[in-house]
Amino acid sequence: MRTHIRASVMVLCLVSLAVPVVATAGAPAGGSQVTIGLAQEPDQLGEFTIMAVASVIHNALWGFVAPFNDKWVRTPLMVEKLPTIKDGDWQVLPNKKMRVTWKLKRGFTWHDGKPVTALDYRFTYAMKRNPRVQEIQDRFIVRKVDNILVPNPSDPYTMVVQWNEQWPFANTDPFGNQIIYPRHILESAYLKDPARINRHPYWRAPVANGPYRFVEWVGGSHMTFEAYEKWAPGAPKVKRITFRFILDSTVLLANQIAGNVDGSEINNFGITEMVEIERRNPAIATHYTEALIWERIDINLDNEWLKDKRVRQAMAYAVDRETIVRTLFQGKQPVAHSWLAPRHPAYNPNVKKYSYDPARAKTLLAEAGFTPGADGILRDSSGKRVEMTIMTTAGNAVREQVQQIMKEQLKEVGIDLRIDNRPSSVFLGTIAPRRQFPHMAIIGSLFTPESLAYERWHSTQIPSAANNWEGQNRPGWRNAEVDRIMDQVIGELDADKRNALLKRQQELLAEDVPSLSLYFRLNLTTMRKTVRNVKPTGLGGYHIPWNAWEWVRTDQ
Amino acid sequence: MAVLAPWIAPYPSDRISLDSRWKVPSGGHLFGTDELGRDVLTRIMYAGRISLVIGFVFAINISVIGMIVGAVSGFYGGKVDGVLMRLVDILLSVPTLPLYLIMAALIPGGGVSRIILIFTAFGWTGVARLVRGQVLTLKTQDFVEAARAMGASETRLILRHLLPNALAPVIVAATLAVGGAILGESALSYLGLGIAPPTPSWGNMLQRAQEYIWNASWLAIFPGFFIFVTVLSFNFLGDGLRDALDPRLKV
Repeated sequence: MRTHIRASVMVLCLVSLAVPVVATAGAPAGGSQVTIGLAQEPDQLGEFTIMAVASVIHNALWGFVAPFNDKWVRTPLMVEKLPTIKDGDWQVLPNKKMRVTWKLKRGFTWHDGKPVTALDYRFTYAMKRNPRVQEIQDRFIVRKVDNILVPNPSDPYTMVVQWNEQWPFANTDPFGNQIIYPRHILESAYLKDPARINRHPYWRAPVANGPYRFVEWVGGSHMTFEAYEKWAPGAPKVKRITFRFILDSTVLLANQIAGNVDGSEINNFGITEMVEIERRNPAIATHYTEALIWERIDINLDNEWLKDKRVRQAMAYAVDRETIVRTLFQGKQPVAHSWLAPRHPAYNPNVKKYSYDPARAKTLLAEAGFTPGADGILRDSSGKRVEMTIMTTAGNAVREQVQQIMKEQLKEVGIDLRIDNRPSSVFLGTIAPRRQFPHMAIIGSLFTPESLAYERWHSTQIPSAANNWEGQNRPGWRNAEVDRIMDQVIGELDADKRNALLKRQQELLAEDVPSLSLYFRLNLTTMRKTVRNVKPTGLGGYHIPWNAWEWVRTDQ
Repeated sequence: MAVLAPWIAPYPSDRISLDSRWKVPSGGHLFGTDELGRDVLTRIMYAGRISLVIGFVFAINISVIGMIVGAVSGFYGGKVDGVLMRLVDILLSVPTLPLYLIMAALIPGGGVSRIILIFTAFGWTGVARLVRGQVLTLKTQDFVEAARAMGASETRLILRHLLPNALAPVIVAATLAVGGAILGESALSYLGLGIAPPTPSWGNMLQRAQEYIWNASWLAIFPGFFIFVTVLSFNFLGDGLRDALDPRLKV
C-alpha cells in the first residue's frame, strides 16, 4: 500500500508542478523568437508519423506545394501555378486517365543547400507508392498515380504526373502529398531496403525544405527550429521557433496564462479555457477559427437494436444538442446536422434535422417494438433490457460531459446508457478503427474543403480483418445510393456537380443516422498579440505555423 | 454520512441541471455545484460510498487471500513455500502504478468491482508475508504441538490454532490498506482510468476538478479534503489498533 501512498504523493506533486514549470521557463535570449505549446509530442516527423501534432511541426519545417490559406484557398508556394484544364497543363485523356504538368519554382533548397527538384517529387512518390514500404498511413490517392516523369533531364523543374483515373484535386496535390523528401539523403537507404526506410534516423532529425531548419529535439521537452535564411519566399523574420511539449492541458493553460509560451495549438483547450486566458492575460490573443471538425457519435449498425433506423432516429430526437452547445460552449460551436460545416461549399442546410423531441423519440421506439419495463427502461421484443454503451477517449472532459448529459436524456426515453472510456492509445488505436465499440463511440474528424471522405461512407470501406482494417466506415453503413454517389464524386472534375452529389449524400446521412452528428468544433488556438500576421486556417494539416515565415514579432 | 447518502443527501444523485452550473458554495448548495450543475455535497456523499466500499472490500479481499496464501506457505514450508513466496517476491518487485494503468486499460468497464479486482490482484502480497511469518513462529510453539499430538487435522490446526493467533497484525494491515485503496483509486481516477462517470468517487471528482481549478476551486477542495481526512483517520486507526493489539508494546 505504500506504493499507493507514493502514487498519490506523485499526483499531488503533479498538481503543484504547474507552478515550478511556470517559474523555470526561459526568457527570450535576444533575437526574435516564438514558443508554441503543444499538448502532444509527435512519435516522429515526416511520412510515417501517426500523430496529428506532427503536422503542426511540418508546417514550419517543410515547404508546402500549395497550402490552404486562411480564406481556404490553395496558394501556389513551391510551384509556378496550379495546373488547370483551361490552360492545358491538366489534360483529361480518353479512358479517364489524366496528365498533369507541374512547373516547380526555382530557388527552393534543402536545408543542406541542395536544390529542390522534380527528382525529389518523383522519389517521394515512388517511396509512398511502393507496397514494400511499411506504415504508410494512406495510399488512397497515390494509388491513382501511375508515374511521375521528368521529361527533360536538363530541366529538373518540370514534371508530368500520370493519373490512372480521374481525381478532382489532381491540380492541388501532385500525388496526394504536400511535402516531399530529399532524394539525395534517403534514396540509397531506400533502394537498399525499402522495408526499413521508415526506421531511418532521418525521421527524427529531418533535413527539410521549409522556412525553418531543424536544430534539436529534446524528447519529453521541446523541439527547436531556426530561421532558414535561404528560404525562397524571403528569410523568416522570427528567427527561432520552439515547440514545447506540455502534455497536461491544465499545465499548458497555466503556461499560456503566465506567458511562458507565446501561443498554443493542439492544446486540448475548450471554450472555458480560452475565456480564462482572455481574462487573465490580455497580452494573448485567442483565435476561435471556423473549422471543418465534425464531432459525432458513430453508431454500430451491426447491433441488433441499432440496425433499425427508427432507433437511431429516436436517439437523435432524444438528445438535446441545442442545449448542449449552448451551455457547454456558450453557443460558440454550432450543432451539426451533417458532416460538412456551413463554410464548406457543399454544405447542405436542408438536411433532415432532429430537434429535441423526446415524445417523438418514444413513439419511434414503440414503433420499433420496444416496451417500457417496470424500472422505466425499455425492453425489446425478447424482453432484453435496453442497455447501451458509449465509448470515447478517457480524460476528455468535454466528451465526458456530453456523455453524462446524454445518459440522462436517453434515460428519459428508456435507454440505459453506460459510459466506458479508454485511454486514447487503446480507443484510437484499436477500438475505433476495428469497430470494437458495441453501440456508440464519440469521435471527431478534421476535414479540408477537398475532403470527399470516400473512406468514411463507401460500404467497401467498412474496416474488417478481411480488408486489413482499412477504411473508416466505422458505423458499418451500407447504402447503395451512397456507394454510387461516392464512386461518382471521386472522379467528378466539375466542382458544382461534385457539390450537388455531396449535398445529396448529406441528406442520406441525415436520414439514415449511421452517425449522430453533435456539433462542429472550432479550431482553438492562441498567440501573443505582438506576433503579427498569424492567420489560423482551421483546416486539418494547416496549423498556426503554416505561414510562420511571414510572422513579425513587434516586442523583441 | 456516506452510508446514509440516499436519505440525507440534499439532491438526487447525478441530477444534471445545466441552468445552475458553477454555483459557488451557498445556502442552496453548501459545497456549490459542478460543471453540469450537480450538487457537490450530494456527490461527495455518494462518492464516499464508492471510495469506502473500495477501501473496505479491498481490505477484506487482501486479508482473506493473504491469510490463505500465508498460512499454507508457512505451514507446509518446502516447495510450496518456495513457489508461493517467489510469486510474492515477483509481485512485490514490480512497480504497481504502471501495472494498474495497464490493467485498467485492458479490463473493460469502469465499475467499482474492476478497480477492486485490479488492486486485489497485487495487494494481497503484504498480508501473505505477514501471516507466513506469524505462522512460521507459531507452528513450533507448544500449543500447536499439543493440538497436533491430540490428532487435530492440518486444516483444523491452521483454522483453529494458527490463524486466530496471527489475526492481530492482519487487522492492522487491513485497516491501513483501506486508506491505501482510497488513495489508489484516487490516483487511477486522477489519471482518467478509475471509476467511470457519472458515478462519482472522490478520486474522479478531484481529477475532473483540475480542469476548472482556475474558476471553480471548490470542486477540488472538497473531494481533496475528504480523501485527506479519511485516509488520515484510517491510518490513525491502524496505528491505534497496532498499539492495542501488539503485546510487545505493552511491555
